Amino acid sequence: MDVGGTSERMAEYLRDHHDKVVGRWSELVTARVRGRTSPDEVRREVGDLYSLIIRVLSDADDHALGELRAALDELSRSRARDGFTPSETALGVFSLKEAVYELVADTADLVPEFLVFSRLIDDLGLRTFEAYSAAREQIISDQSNAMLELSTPVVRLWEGIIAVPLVGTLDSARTQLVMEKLLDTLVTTGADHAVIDITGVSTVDTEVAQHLLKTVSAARLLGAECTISGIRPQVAQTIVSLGIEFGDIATKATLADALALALAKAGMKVVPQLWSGCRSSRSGGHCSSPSRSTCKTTPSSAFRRTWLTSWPSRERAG
Amino acid sequence: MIIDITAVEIVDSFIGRMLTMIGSISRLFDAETVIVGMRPAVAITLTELGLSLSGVRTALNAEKGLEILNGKS
Repeated sequence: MDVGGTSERMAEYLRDHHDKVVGRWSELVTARVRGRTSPDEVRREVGDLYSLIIRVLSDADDHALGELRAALDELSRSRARDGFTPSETALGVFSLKEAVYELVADTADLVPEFLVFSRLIDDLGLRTFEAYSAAREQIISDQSNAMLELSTPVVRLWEGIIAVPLVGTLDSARTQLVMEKLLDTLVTTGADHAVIDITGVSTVDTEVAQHLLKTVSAARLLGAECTISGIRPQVAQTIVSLGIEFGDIATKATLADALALALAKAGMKVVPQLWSGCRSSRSGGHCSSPSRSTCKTTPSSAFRRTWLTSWPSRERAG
Repeated sequence: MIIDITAVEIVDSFIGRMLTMIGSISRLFDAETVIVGMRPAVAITLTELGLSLSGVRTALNAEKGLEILNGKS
């Protein structure tokens, strides 16, 4: 059997019945997509694919198959993005077979031609499925990257104090990202104290602890001191029972404690707002909240530089 | 003594060891060494190599390094 001849005859047949087949194919596809794509658009897509398929079958040029595959890939990708199911996407191609079958059913002499055509359509259908799943994988990996970006903010708590609230699980990829972001922020803000808050970290095992230690020692190389805060009782128990040593790294129960420590190291302290201000604004002799509870942070000395030179505990521990 | 490594973009274990050695040698002369201006990438590399430059002080920039030295004296 001359395969080239049969496929050319099939191409001839398809060319002769162009309008009828394209019309029926578009109808079938439109019925499947149920209004998610306009009939005109479906007709245009189907028409493009149809002429490409004829070119492939008639062996007119070498590029036809590549072009057809590229067109199908593009179609599957857009279908994947628009939320179609894989079978809806593949059936879009398979319904061409149905459309042609309805035409050739009553002519018995086209059987070998139809078989060749059918094999081509099967290949194309499989290809749409592959392209569809590749597009889906791409979407998933893009989203996980976006989530990685979102989940590692570095915030500035105070002049010279930054915080990294960690949420979720710490793996090596995330540690790397956190470390890079933390170090970059240290350099750009000129901060010399960083607080790593692990309140949102569900479990701390030896691996997570190792990642934390790495981050801290990298920050220390830049000359910044790190505090680990937000260690919950269960986490503390786990850390002790696993025998993890945080060495000379300061750990605090809450972010507030860590901030207080960092402020103290930076030579600041939080004091209640002056009472005299409250008295002048209120008629009574005593000051009530909220004015009383409003605190303001002042440098404990008028000149920080002077103060620094006279402060002995400025040395880093260890 | 301040060692400014702002322009250092690539480090290996040798440089890491050398920096530590400079620190310990200068300590023999009772001099304080501060390494300043380390780049984030360099810090990450040194950490991955397991070198934490213990015994050498570090600071973000030369100004902060001077502050540390002034604070010491």
